[in-house]
Amino acid sequence: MSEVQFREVTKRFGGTSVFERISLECPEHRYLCLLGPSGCGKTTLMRLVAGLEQPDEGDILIGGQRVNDLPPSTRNVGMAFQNYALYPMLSVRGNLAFPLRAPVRKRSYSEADIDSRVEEIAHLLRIGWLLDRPVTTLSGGQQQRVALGRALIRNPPVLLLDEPITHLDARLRYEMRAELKTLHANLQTTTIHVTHDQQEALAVADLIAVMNAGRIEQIGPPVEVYRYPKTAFVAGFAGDPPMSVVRMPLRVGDSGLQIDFGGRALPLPEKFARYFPGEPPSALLIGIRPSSVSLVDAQASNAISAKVYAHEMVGRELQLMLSVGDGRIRYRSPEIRRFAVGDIVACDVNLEQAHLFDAETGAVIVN
Amino acid sequence: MSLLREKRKIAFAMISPSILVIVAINIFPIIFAVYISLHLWSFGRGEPRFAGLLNYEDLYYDGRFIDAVFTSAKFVFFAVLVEFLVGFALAFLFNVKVRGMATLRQVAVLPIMVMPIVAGLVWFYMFNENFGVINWLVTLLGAPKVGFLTDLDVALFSIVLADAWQWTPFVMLVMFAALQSLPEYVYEAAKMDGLNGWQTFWRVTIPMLRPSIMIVIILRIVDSFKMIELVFMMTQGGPAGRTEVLPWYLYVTGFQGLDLGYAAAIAVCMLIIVTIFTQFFVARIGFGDDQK
Amino acid sequence: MASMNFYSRTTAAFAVASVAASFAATSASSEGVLNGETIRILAIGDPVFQVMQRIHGDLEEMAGGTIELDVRGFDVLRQQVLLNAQNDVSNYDLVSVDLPQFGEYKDFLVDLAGYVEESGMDWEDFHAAAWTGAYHDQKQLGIPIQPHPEIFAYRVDLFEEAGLEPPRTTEQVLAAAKALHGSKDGLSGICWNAARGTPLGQTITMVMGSHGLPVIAMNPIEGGFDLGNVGPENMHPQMDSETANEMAAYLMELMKYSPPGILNMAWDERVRVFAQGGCAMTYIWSGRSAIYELDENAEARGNVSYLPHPAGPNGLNVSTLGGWFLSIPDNLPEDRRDLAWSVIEWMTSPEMMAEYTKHGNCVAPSHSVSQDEEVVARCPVIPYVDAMATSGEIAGWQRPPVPEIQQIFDILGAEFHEALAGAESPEDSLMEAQRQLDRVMRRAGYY
Repeated sequence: MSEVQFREVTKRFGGTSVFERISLECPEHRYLCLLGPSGCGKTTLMRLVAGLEQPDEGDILIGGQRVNDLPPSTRNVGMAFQNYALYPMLSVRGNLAFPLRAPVRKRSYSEADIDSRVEEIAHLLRIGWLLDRPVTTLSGGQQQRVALGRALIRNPPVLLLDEPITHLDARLRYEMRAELKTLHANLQTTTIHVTHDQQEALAVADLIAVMNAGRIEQIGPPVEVYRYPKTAFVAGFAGDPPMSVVRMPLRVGDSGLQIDFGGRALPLPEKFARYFPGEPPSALLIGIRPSSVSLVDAQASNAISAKVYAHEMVGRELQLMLSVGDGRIRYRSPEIRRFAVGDIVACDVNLEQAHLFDAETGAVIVN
Repeated sequence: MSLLREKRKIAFAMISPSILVIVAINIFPIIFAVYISLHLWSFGRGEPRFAGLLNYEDLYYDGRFIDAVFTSAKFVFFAVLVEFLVGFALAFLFNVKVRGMATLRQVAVLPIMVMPIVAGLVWFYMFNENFGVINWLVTLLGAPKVGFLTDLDVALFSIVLADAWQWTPFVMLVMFAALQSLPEYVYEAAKMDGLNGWQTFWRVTIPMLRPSIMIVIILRIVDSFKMIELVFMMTQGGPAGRTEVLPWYLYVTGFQGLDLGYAAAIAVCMLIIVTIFTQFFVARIGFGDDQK
Repeated sequence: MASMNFYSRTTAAFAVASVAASFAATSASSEGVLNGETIRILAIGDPVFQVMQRIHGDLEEMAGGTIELDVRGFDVLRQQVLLNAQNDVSNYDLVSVDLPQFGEYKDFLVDLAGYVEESGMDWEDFHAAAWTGAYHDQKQLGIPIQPHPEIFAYRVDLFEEAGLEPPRTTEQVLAAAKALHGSKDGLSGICWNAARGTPLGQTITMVMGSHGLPVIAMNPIEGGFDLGNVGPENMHPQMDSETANEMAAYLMELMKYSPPGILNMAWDERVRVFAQGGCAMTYIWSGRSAIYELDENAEARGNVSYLPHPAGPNGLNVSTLGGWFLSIPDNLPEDRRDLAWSVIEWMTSPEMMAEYTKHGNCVAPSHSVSQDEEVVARCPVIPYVDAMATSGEIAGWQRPPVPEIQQIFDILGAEFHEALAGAESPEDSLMEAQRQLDRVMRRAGYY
């Protein structure tokens, strides 16, 4: 049993609270990603599991056992640090063997055990040929594997990964995602992985917990988080690319509810109307995927006037950030055209696929 | 292949001036010292006469030289030991983040700024049995005067103390800088591995500091091996030769006796000795064996 | 090695600390000996030249020109003199030479006899021992500027109090030392140079002299030994002699009545301990009596009388002359020599010698200056020295003027320190010193 549970955990640094009474569970054998912007508390949450931080209130359980009072080394967790935290004076072999040779585990492993375990892990991570090299001479990707290997060397039931692949270059990052996934499939280690990269989280996780400002906004399988964001924050943070969340006034027009979309009144699609049976709110947060945005002729009747805020090439696509009213929406087009910042363009927004959120709470109204 | 050879030629041509400079500055004086050491040459008394290995042969039978080798070894050993241990401990102390520590650090390094010859003068007077403040304090405590510079068993350690006074701050400074640059996150890894404070110190901190430790030890060995000012000022080799270190004997033969060939032979021997010793430590600067 | 302070620690440190040993020209009038010219002197960091440094401005005004005074420590000075001798043209008009160094330098120096004659210098006014100290191979190689003897000083008040006779023999010294040592709180019998190396080496050569033999086998002549003619056959060390053993026994006895730290005591320190009443007697370079005679707080001030070196059982009362002479390097161009000579003449004149005594240099190697009442009032030691000079109690042969003199000092001072420190028997120390001196002489090719 190796599920990880937080029960009403509160953590403060000095007078500042990182999070209050947070509860969370990562079931056994699952791969949980803690996803959130920097400073949201995700790393602290993981360090609480490791035992590098102590909770001020609440309990942390691993495999059903309360571990609050256990030192890190006896919690049966392996951890790979963001900066790898390899022992610079040792070789790859020395780093991998270090946890096995630690005095707390004196006589737990024979030299032969250690050798075979090191070989095994090195083989698994394909760093066997590097074993006798000083870690300081390795590339970032190689160091990352060593760090991972060191976390895995004791076969811990729980594996903690702190931004494990953030510092790698894009190609390596892509490779490592697949590898992490394969590794997890083979080892079935309960894994908590901290990242701020939603692509990474979507790619590797069984479960994603989106965190913001010390709160867990949503926890669920990647598809669910991506498709059905429970809050405007999740909508804006998760997804590839994430939705554009814009705040627009809602009015009662001649033919029903209308959204004042950057000066143009767009009728609220019929299917949404039933969510506003009573007095409609004065504004809505509207989540729009880039695929729902199109550029139209300026003379068209449905044209919304927008200003180019930024433009870049993403892969083979042109991505525009358009200012509409007070908000910004993302547009993607396979057609390459030349734009300059400040250009006025006309666009249309298909609200049929929009997600609506409460303008006050950010909670989802309809996905 | 020929292109490679061509490239090498060019590369060699490019670096040859610097090689020449290195040879001129570093190697030539050594070669010259070796050359002189093969001659009988008393300064101001005619041209050098070739003497083969006569100077070295005389050295071999020169009890004073042999004694000086051991005195030097003893001095270097104790000086470096004290300076390293105390400097290392101070570095840890100064690494503590307490108000006023920065000022204390600045004060602590002042001895390095003092000219060694002045340090020698100050310590000579402090240790002096007739005027010295230390013996004054000793008698104040009711104890008999100590022959800091005249007691056969004490004098060398008085010089060690003076040397340590001057150079411990240097060790402290280097080790402090090394401590400051240690990666903090590695300590979390050690925590995960269940190392307690003491184990972390021996298994993580010390190994990570090893390059700095080796460098500071090498510098101190080389430098203390060359120390002459304190002996010059404090004892001139006394009592009974107990503080006659090699540089002082070299000074006596070369600069007072003006027996340059003999002095050069001593210098060459010193170079060989210090090279052997430092190479032992140089070999340990870099990446070494894993701990078992 | 004449005077006691060139090894003094203070001076050495100071010489390193302030490189500004040579001075820039001050306003030079065109009268006086220099007549607007510049003179360059390679000098020793000893009292007379330190006085010149102190009164440099006045000195240049008196000379009417620029005086460049390069003051060096003893070892550096010697190296520079020898290096300068190898130049085609000397960098200095004048160099300062220590009495025992004439043997080493005699081939590089100008014979001044002609100048002495021509200028009518009153050379007989100089102490005979001082004057002849620079006379080698029938040449006058230097003119005395600061020669003074190492003599024996004792506290008259303490001696009278204890009813002791002035000690003229080593036996009397030991008896007095025994009587006075510890008779008062903090009072020891005798101060002397026992520090390792040159200080002790000099003590040994001089005390051996007052026991009747020089350290090498020089030729005996009437009243002493011939220091003007030292050949290879005279280079045999005599540390295996009976006299050496007597000298050693005396020094070993002295240890019992010496102040704390005697094994590291040298030059000025013995005088300072004596000055503050730490010992009843001391060996002293006479010029250094200024340390207490000019210090109103010194316990010894006004209470000191002087004797020549006490004689050993078979020895004689003879003090060792040492100290500095001014000489002209022989690679100085002819057209500079007259100027150099006139500066020597001026600097060694009775008027200037009297001037130096005003500033803490109690040396006057001339009979006329020694009778100057003002000088005597400032420096009570001067008439004592003058009397010793007149009665032939001052000589220079104790420290033979041979090129190996420094090695002799070093070996004696290093080896016998073993005996004084109790690390070796005196006999073994002397034997070892004899062996090493023998080796030095053989290496130098004398025999």
